[in-house]
Order: sequence, then structure tokens, then C-alpha cells
Amino acid sequence: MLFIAARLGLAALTIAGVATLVFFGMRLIPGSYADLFFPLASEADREAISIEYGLDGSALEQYILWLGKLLQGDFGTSLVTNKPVIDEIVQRLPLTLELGFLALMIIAFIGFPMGIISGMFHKKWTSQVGRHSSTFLMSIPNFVLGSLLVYAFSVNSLGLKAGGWAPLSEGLMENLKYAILPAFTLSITGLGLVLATARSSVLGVIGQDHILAAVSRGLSPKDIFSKHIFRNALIPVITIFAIVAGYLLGGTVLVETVFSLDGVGRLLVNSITRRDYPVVQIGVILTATAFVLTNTIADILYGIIDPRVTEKNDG
Amino acid sequence: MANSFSDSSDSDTPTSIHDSASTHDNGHGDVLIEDSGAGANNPSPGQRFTRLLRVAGPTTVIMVLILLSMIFIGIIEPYLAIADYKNIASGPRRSAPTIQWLFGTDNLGRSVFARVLEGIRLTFLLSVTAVVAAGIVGSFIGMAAAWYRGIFDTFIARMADVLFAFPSLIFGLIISAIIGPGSFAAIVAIFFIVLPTMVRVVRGAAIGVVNRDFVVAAQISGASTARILFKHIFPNVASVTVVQTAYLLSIGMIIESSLSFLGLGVQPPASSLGALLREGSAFLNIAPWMVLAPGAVLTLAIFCVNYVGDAARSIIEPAQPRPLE
Repeated sequence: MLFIAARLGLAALTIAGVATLVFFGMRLIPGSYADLFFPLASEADREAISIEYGLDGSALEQYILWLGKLLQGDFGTSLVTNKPVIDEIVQRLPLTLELGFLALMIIAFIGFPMGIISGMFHKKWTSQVGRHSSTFLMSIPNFVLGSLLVYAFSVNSLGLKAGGWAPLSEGLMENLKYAILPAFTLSITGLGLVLATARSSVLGVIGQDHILAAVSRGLSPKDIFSKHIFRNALIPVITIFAIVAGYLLGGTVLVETVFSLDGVGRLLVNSITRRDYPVVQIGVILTATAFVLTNTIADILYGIIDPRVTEKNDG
Repeated sequence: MANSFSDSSDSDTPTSIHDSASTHDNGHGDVLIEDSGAGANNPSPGQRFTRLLRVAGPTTVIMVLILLSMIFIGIIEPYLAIADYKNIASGPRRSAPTIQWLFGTDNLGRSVFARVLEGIRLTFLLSVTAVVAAGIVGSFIGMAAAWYRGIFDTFIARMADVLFAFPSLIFGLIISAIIGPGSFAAIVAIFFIVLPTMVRVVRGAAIGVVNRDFVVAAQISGASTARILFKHIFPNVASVTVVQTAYLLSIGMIIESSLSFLGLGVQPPASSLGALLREGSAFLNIAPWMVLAPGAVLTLAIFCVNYVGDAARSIIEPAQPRPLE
């Protein structure tokens, strides 16, 4: 229990650090909101604009004010659209979450088994294919793959759509037509990473003495795999899977750009160029929270699967 | 004395043949057995080199050659007689690849081949600069954290957590907005994005060394902290640093090209591979070579870096039984 509490405490501290960093980072960007949107406004008008949007006072004063509101659940208002920040984000969240979810599914049901197979048959060609394809998958920047897919499917679409979006409300099949290519593009790096981790983790376990002991006790290969290899190989994969899951939300920026989708990633990029401080701040905090939480959950899971972990207090 | 740890670590860990073959295969299924008597008979540099080639395997050698030739072309590119990448209308507009225009020409009649060469140069230059800087600063911070422990160590660890959790591309975009888009912004962004990884890895490796006998002995005999860090601890974490630098280099290249792809990295007329992809994507359907050529070269370059990094790891950190943590 203490272990879980300590982990959650660290997670909260990290998120607070991200909130602080993004707040002051945004304030360091030269050119105020008023300069950008009302370049002809008089000095007095600018003053009024600053006060209206809570941009007057020193950065520190603004920060304390903002933090106080944030802790009370007030996420602020977009400077550009005048809508609540939370509405702007929630409106685009389903698309980004769905892409992330589909990408995770692709990674879990393609990358993981491929890694296990490539590790189990380590004397055969499967192992070399696994090794090289994982390196290759990790080497393709997702916007390169995305551009390639957009081009390839514009030549022959095969019924899939490269670009644009149909929400789930229009039916699952219609939705998947649009979602499958960007989701695959998003999954590519994680696919390689999980494949490589699963492979090397299985290879590491296979060489252990307790596997040799199990073999000499005459256990069936099936039992050895499910009781000894699979469980031990799973631990590092869970960690990597959590890291990948955390990165996916931040990684949708490029995929959404390539496939021209209106998701959270695009919103964040546009908001930075438009100096829409509140949107960037909340967006970054949410993305970081997702990352920190998945990692914390992985840490805790790790402790449950392998009780030895909780006993060590320092890595 | 300082090197006793790194020298002995290869031979004093008993490795079963089966294990070494499986955890660190060298690309063609051969079993890697390190020469345990490396210290006993001093091989000539030539022998060392051939042994290195044998251990690395032919694929790695090919990858190293591709990588070196890319870097070489990048260096001599400005002096080559190929059409200047800035030369507008040196060829027909959006011509498909031909013998004369290897990768075709772009919307302004510039040779895509020449631009891709220039792109390789910038992509490598920016990421190498940033990652090497992060390697130096990161190993210093990591070693110091492992040495001093206490509040300093905790502070560094929490800062690394924060930088890790910050979505990296958004971080790069904010940096670019603060100091203005361009090569320098790209370097700063890559530096801060890869720094926490470097710090963590070096700190982890250094913690295993700080309490070893030779460090304690140095301390007792009155060596200064700086001397202990650089003379005694650094040689033992250097290999980790090198391997990590190779890995981070590929991440640096991806970050640089991503920033440029979003238009906030390298600015025209300079062009990194990411910037070329950005320009090309507007003409994806009429001149696909403007995207496919830089995309393929970028992927090949990153693949080579990753592959050579993997090989470097299995050579520098030879097969060891992987402990069940």
C-alpha cells in the first residue's frame, strides 16, 4: 500500500512540474496575445485586453491565479474561440483516443505475438526477421509512413480512406474505413519497440537455469511456455507497453497533421502558434497526466506480477 | 586501477554458450564468445580490427559503410559539382526521376537529389550536435547525481521525470516558438528531449561504480571529486554513454525531421529531410518523388544509426546472462 501511495505522490509531483514548466514556457514566447491579434490596438486597449484575459500582472501572479483556478476545476477559456478550454478538448478527444486505442490494439495483437514467436524460435529465420523488422519499424518516422500511405491509397484506395474522418456515430465500419490507416501509422514505433522487447525478453528467459530444470523434469513444451516463459517475459513488455501507451497521445500530432484530422494533437500545435495559452497549458497537462498515469499503473502492476519489485525502494 | 572493473567484467561473468547466442546474436546466428584472455596476448591493431569485423558480422559492416558514406557525402556536398540545391529552375518543373535528375525535380525546378544530399547534411549535423552535447552534459549530471546522492540526486531525478512526461514534440514546438524557428531551435529542442534519458542511464551505471573498492581507495588517498568522477568513474560508464548516444541520435533525427515537417525547424531555403517532406506533401499526388525520396533516405539513415547502435551495444557490452531482476 505504501508503495502505491508513494508512486501516486511522485506522479502528482511530476504533473505539477509539467504544469509549471508549460506555464512559464508559454510566457517566454515573445509577442503577447494582444500584439498578435490586435496589432493596431492602442496602449490603453491592450491594457484592457490583458486585464480581460487575465494576462496582466507579472508571470508569477498569473501563475498563482491560474493554479488556484485550476485546482478548483476551472480550466479557463480559449483566447481564440472564447469557448471553455475543456469543451475545445473534449470535442476532439474521441478521435485522438480512438486512434490511440486502435494503435494499442495493433501493437498488442500483432507486435507482441510476433515478438514472442521471434524469440521462441531463435535459431530459425523467424528470429532474424523479428530482429530486423523491429529495428526497421522503429526507424520509420510516422509522418513518412503516413505520407507514403496517403499517396499509396490515393492511387488505389481499397475501400479505405486516407484523410478525413467519420465519427463512430456513423457506424463502426464507416468509422474504421477512416481510422485504420492513421491508427496503423501511429502504432508503427510502438509496434517495433514491443516486438523487440518481447523478443529479447523471451530470449533472456529461455537461457535461464529454471527453464533447463523444467525441461529436464520432463514438462511439456506447452507448460514450459505458459508457466515459465510467458509469465516472466511479460514483465518487461508491460513496462514498455505502458511507455508506448503514454507516448501515443503525444504522438498523434504528426499523424493528425498528415491525415488532416481535427484531433487534440492538431489543436495543441495550432494553439501554440496562436498563443492560445490556456488551451496549450491544459492540453499539455492532460497529455502528461495520461503518460504519468499509464506509467504509474505499470509500476503498480509490475509490483503485483513480480512481488520482489516492491521490496526494493531504489532502482 | 580505475579500469579493473571494466576489464574484468567481461571475463568474470560466466556465460553459457546458449545464453550468449540467444541474447546477443550478431545478425547471422553465430555464437559470440568473447576472448576472455584479451589482456594476456596483446593483439596488433590489425588483428583487433579483423576480430572486430568478425564479431560485428557482414550486415553491420554494410550498415556502417552506408552510414559513413552518407556522412561523407553530407560533408563534401557543398563542394560537389552536382546542381546547387538552391538553384531555382536548373531543371524542368516537377520532372519525374530521370538519369539526369535522379530523384526528379521539385515545383521550382530544383534537383531533388541535390536537395536530399543537403538535407542529409543538415539532419545529421543538427542531431549529432545536439545529442553529443546532451551526452556530455548528461553524463556529467548523471555522475554527479550518483556521487552526491541526497537532495541533488532527488532534484535531478524529479526534473528528469518532468521532462519525460512533457509531450516531446509539443516541447520542441514551444522551444521553437520561444527562440524562433530555425536550426538553433531544433538543436536546443533535441538537447532537452534526449537529456533526461542520458542522465538516467549514466546515473544508473555510475551508482554501480561509486561504492567499488577502487573509488573508495581513490577517495581515501585524497583524490579530488573531479578527479574521481573523470578518472575513476567516467571510464566505467563511458561505454554506456556511447551506446546511449547512438540510440539517442536516431531519436534526435526523428525529432529534428518532425519539427521541420511541422514547419518549425529548419527554415527555407535551407532544407533538412523533414523540411523537404513538408514541402513535398503539398504536391504528393502530382510529384510523389518529392516526398518519397527524402522519406526513403531519412528512414534508411535512421535505420543505419539504429542498426549500428545495436551492433555497438553487443560489442561493447558483450553477452552476459540476463539476471531476472
